[in-house]
Amino acid sequence: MKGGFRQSMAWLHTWAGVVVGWALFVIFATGTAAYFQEEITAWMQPEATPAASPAVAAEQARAFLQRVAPDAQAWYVTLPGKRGASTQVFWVPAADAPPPDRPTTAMLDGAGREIAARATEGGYFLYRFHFDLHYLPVIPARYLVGVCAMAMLTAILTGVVTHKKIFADFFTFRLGKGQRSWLDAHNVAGVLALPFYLMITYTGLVTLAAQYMPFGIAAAYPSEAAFYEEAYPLGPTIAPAGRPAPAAPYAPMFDLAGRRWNGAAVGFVNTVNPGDANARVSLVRSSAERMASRGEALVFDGANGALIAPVANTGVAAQTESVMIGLHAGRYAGPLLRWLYFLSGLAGALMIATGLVLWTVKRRARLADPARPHVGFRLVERTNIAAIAGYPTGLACYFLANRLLPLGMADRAAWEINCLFIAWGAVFAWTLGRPARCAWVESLGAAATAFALVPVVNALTTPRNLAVSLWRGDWTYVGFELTVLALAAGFGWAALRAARRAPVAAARRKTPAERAAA
Amino acid sequence: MSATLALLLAAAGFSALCMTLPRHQNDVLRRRLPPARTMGLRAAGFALLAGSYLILAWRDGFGRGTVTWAGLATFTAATVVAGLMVHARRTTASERCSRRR
Repeated sequence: MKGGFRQSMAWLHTWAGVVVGWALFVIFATGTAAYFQEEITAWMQPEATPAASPAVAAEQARAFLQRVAPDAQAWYVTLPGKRGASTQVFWVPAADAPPPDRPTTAMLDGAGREIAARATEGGYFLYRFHFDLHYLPVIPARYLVGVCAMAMLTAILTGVVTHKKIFADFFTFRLGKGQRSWLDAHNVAGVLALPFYLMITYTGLVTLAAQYMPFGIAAAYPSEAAFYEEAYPLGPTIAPAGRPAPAAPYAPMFDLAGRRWNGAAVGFVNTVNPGDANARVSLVRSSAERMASRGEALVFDGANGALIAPVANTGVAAQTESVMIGLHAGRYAGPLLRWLYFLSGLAGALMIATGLVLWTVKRRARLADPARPHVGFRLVERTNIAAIAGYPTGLACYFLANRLLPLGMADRAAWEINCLFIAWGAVFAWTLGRPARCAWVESLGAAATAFALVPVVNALTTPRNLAVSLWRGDWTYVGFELTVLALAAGFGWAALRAARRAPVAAARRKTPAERAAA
Repeated sequence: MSATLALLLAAAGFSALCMTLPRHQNDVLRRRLPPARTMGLRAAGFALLAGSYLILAWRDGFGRGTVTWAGLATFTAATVVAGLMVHARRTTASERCSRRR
């Protein structure tokens, strides 16, 4: 690293950014979409209908589980929240039970009936893809994401140092000035949402800190299990008594929880040893209620309904971690704040995209022969297109596959995800054989087309088209489809701009005859 | 309601701060403001931003209010940038027309 402090920081900014930029773009874009994971799941399961209120849903879930899984070791129920998700149940079969002949999960509608919804991972896939990636073992994938996040944090901090005039250029965005415009766009996207980037990158690292830095645990605890037992107590474990007992009603437990938590809603109802005299019911506060991500729990005797103990409140460090994770995941956010999270995330994706493009724009001017760039340049250029235009195309195809794949298909949920990667790979392969400008125009156009098709295909394959959703005031559907259309418009605009610039670039390039003459 | 007010105050605040910068004074007002006016605008801009923060902190509490305000500030500042872009486009377009005439 030669030159002064700012030069070395600029060097670090460039290379920390470009080495992991594509992965960061994908992680950022996916995480941004995952802020609406429940809404996306609702859109991807058009068969699902709105659920009942939490206390009613809990009784319905119990009735369902008593019928389907009376001998289970434990029942886990996720109650519907304000965002209109249905009731999810999941159970652990008895240790000596024969292998189950049906999945041990189910989704219940507002009347407590099991919904026969299409198989899909929905928005949950996006949430997991954001930090677990796909087709990869989870632990190495999380290390990869961690490396990217660390590079992101480095790029943000060095970017602040590199940016010469943060305040003078705070509002500056000059269009139509080539490299200067790209730099302006990168600066504006970077500076305006800077608090968000710092928060999201730092807290993102905190979510997996125990995996990345396990040394503190290793030094202070005999085993990792001992650490988790102390850090996240699950309450006393209890063996079944072996005597059946009727179950106490939920309503008084919900009332007590509401009083203890100042009216906050219950998010989860977990039952250990259901139907037994030693049944234990724990109510966990909904994560939509507070910034801290780990909700408090109250444990009740499942047979007589008596409160046994609130699970001990954890220490200050654990509370801090819990708030940081909550801040990252934004489960506590209401509609306004959720949209602000989403827009800040989009700004982040734009910042990364413009940064990547800037790398090529800067170097293109310095190439010895702009018609035949060297391998490194071509690699960055193509991968940029594959990430910035190809990945969104894949995402749109994930939604399209959800509507178009046959409902009875084997491994349907997995194939929806495969479609994302097939479409993404197809765009990448296509761009390899095309001149860069054409590749940009075509792949941005593909993204615009794929997104624009989503509401169309939905209207053709389900009765819940945009007009019906508007008429019914179904804002989850309306919001999803208008957002998808806005993305289509954005990519379309970008494709048009790239197309308009194409002839200028071609004119600047020498023809082979001219080159031969020179 | 109070969120809308906070949004409007933040937008007004960033517009005022934007007009303290020489480049945007030249672009939008076609002249440089005297230093006293610039100082006044700067004070007004920060006061408006503080006002929008106080409204959100009062509505949502310190924690949530701070997060919402940060998001709202990003959004309103981006709106001001977009407004400047539209303005720049209009002026260059009208200049082109007047030159042609």
